[in-house]
Amino acid sequence: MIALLIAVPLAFAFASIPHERLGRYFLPFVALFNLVCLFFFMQPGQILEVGKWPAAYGIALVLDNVSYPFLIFVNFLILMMALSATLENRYGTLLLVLTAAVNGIILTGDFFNSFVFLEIISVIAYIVAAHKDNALGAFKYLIFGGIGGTMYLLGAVSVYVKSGTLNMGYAAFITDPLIVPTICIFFLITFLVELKVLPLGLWAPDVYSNGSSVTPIALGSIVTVSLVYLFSRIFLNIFDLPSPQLVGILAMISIILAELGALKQKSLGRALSFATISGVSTVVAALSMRESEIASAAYFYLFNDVVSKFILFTLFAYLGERGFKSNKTAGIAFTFASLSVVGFPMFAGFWAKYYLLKALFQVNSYALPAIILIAAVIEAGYLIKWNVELWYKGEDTPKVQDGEQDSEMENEDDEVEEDFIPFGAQVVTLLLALTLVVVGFMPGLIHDQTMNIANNVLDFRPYLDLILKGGM
Amino acid sequence: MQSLLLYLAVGALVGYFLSMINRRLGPIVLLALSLYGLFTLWNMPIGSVEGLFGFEDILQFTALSKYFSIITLIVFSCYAFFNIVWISKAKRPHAFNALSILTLFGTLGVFLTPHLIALYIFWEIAVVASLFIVPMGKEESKKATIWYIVISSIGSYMFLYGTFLLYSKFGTFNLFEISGNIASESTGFKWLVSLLLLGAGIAKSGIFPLHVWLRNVHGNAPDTFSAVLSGQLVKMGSYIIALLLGAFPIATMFSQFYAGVNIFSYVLIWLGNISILIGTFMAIKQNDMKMLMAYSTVANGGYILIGLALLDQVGFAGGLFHVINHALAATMIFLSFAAVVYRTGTTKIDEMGGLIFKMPVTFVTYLVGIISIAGIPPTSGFVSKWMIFQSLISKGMFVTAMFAFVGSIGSFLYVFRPLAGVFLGQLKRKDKDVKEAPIVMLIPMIILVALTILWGVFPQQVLVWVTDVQRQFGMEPFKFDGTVLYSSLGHWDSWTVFVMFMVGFIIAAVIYILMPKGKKIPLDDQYTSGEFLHNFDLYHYATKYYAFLEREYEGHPSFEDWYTSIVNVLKAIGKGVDYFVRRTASAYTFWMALVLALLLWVRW
Repeated sequence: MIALLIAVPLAFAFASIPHERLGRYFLPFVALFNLVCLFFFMQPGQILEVGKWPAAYGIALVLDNVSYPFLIFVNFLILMMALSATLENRYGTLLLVLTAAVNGIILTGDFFNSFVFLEIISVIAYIVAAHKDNALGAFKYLIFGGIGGTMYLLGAVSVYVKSGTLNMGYAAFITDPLIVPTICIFFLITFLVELKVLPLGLWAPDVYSNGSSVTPIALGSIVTVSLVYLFSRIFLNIFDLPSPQLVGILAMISIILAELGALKQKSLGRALSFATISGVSTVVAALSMRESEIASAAYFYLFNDVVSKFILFTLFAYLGERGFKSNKTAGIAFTFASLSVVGFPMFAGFWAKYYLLKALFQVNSYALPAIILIAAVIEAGYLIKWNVELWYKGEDTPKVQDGEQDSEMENEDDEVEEDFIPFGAQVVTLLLALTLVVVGFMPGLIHDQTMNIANNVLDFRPYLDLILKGGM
Repeated sequence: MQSLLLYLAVGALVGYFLSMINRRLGPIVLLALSLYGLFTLWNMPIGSVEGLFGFEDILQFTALSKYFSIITLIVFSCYAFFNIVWISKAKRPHAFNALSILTLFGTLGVFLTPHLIALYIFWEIAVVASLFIVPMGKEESKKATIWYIVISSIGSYMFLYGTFLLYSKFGTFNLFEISGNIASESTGFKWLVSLLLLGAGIAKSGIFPLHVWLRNVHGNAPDTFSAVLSGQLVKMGSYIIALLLGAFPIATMFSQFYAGVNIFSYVLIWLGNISILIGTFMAIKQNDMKMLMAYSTVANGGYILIGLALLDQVGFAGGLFHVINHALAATMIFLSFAAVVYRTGTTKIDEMGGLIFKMPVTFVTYLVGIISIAGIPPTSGFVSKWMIFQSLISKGMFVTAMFAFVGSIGSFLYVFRPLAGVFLGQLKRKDKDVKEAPIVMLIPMIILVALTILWGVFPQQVLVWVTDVQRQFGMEPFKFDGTVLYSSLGHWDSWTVFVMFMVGFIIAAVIYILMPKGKKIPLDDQYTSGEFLHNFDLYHYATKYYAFLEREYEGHPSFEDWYTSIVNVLKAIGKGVDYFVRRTASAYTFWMALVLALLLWVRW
């Protein structure tokens, strides 16, 4: 049953090849099907051993308390993206394969299998990154991601050499202090690239700012969430994080430098990409602390960051920097999302920062909260600047001479036509903005879930019990 | 309290939708809510505790809450009343109305809760609501908004950091519970926490060094909203300062430094001194009347801080009294400016003149306002200034007293500039048809004038509120008996002063009526040196009014430039980051190798 989450999207991807627009129509239904299966037909605590090979020898797909919420969230995001993004020809097929791969990487309990899914995700990511003539950005991402993928392969191979098995659960029993850190460093490099921690996240601004309604959401929201899951699984559940202080310091430097990078940008897309780097770096910095309260807050922060950036990037893709004069509801969604990113009450972002700061102070960590708050000040500066600029666009008409009047009028007509946001995108952005407000008033809705995830991810026993089924 | 807050929250939405039907309905909703709030909170007993949205006992009505809430509601009532006519000039009336109501909701919430996180939430709601009103003003207000939010965020996040530090130490967010336990902490911790929490108050009330946002924001915001910004939102900062100074209590937390003033308070007093200096001298230079009054807010914020930080019988009461005085005076002045701009369309002093003939009531409002700010009886401004001066002198703090006196003299210099430039002098030809402001705008101004004079003659009501606050914080309350105010250096009777003033006024009026009137000569019925006067606009002295004084401090360092250069440094760093992003793929490989080497090296 679990395998359907991977098999059905893949099957529909193949089925959508004959006609170039089929994939676009299959995608929302496939995502909806996945969600229905997850809600009604599956419970956490299941394992599927593919081909009936025992877990140590074969591939195991594991659905436990950690992967279940992540699957729901990712499939929900895919559904939202299917409704809001403008998918050109063949992109539907690509995204169906992406759905399969993302579900796969969350479900799998096997290192090499996760490498395979990671590579599938990477290939799709490079193609999607090249949307809107962004070949150079995609190429740079390719180089970075390629090396990252190779590192992951090296890590997976080393695991096999050392422990004789590729299964994550069984590999957790390797305790050689000389080898495990090296293996983990290989994995860590991959995650630092994909989770955009500077300086390995330098690819993100070029890729996310291409003005596409697909790229930043598919890559920035969906792929990032699945890789945060994998990061948690490997470094919080199975292995230990090698040099957590260094990871923490790298992430903290990344937060500040990314915010400063955003400050200077004249293009909204680039500013938002830098903001994404900063947001995910905060999650990585928090997760590196390996405390359940902090991890729970980190997941809450991820939820807020991903949903807000979804709204911001979608609206940037459709409106560019033309302002909200004819799209008041889009403007309100944009404003709500930016206020949530900065962390103003009563939006989800405030509670994310609240829980994170509270948990950090309880373990007497004083540097990271200071960095988060300084980053928030800088973020407030440029996000509010963009908000004011976009809301009041066109009110400050420069003094034109009479000769230029005609071209001004023509431009206005063009702009009125181009400001059209597809109905799906309007509904999705409003819905997500409302979600941010609802969570802002009732944070318990999400916080209970994230506490559950955090407690389960830091406790290796349930996972191992599921895989080992009572004995080695 | 709970119902009031709920009505306000709902009222914001209601105001928005009603404004779509008729834009005047929004201010009417705000007026109704403010008057309802005033009525409820006036009669509410001090010490009542209520819950909100299921959180038990989170709203607490202290004496300080009552005092500040009443000030806020008076300011907002007059603002709402004024807006009923002014809103026709507003650029985005629906959002303006809704956000105004939301601002009131936020500020009242700040005053009503001792729970630090709830306070932070209400604080930020007020900040966000006011944040989106500011850019509805002039063109430069958009840049000003960024200054506002960045400096306000610096203050708010310092506050948040301090709150969590306290929570990790004491396990509670309730300020009064924390204050019971904080005395036993180390001095370094006490300094850190106090500075962090007060950062919000300093940023909000525009005290040096976080004063740079006031000029642009208050100067460029929509005209009536400047009254709320200057008259009420900076009082939110003063509230935090008063609350923390009194509740911790700062008086016993730090060692004594000078004449009963502890070291921490002394630092604050010096910040206040510098604020007075900067505010006064910068105000003297301004040509835009709203920016001038914005600097006046900086200076008066300094007075309030000095008064509050003195933390004694007379000084603390003086600081608190000055809060209400400045609130009333700033509101009066900004509303009169709004009326002038409503009729003439400009805020530059040297583009106006002689409006006393056309707008006499507005002139009287402004006049009483500046008399109150300068601290001259029989207005209420004199009472608070007297109390602060008394306290300073009785402690022997002559340096601060010097700053305070210079500030007072300087304040009369700079408030006189708009008076002479806008209202007195020659009426410009283009303003010949200017009429007085509509009656609906005049009523709130007259009410404020009446209140200022009333509380200048009979300050008992305000003193009752102020001494309640002092009693709640365990201080010796200010001594007064009817209209007689006592201090260690002497006493005076406000009624006597008023009578003296009225007698003098009546004598002067009698003389004016009985004596023959002068003959009114039109300006063009004269000539000088054989030349006939024909363009009276040129004979209005308003440009570079205080040039002789400004020359003295012409090359002064500018804090705005200093802050801008810090921002430029940060932007340069950001540009450096962007530089690294734009390099080739081979550069990326280099970074990859570097990080890998770093990780492996640290591991070994």
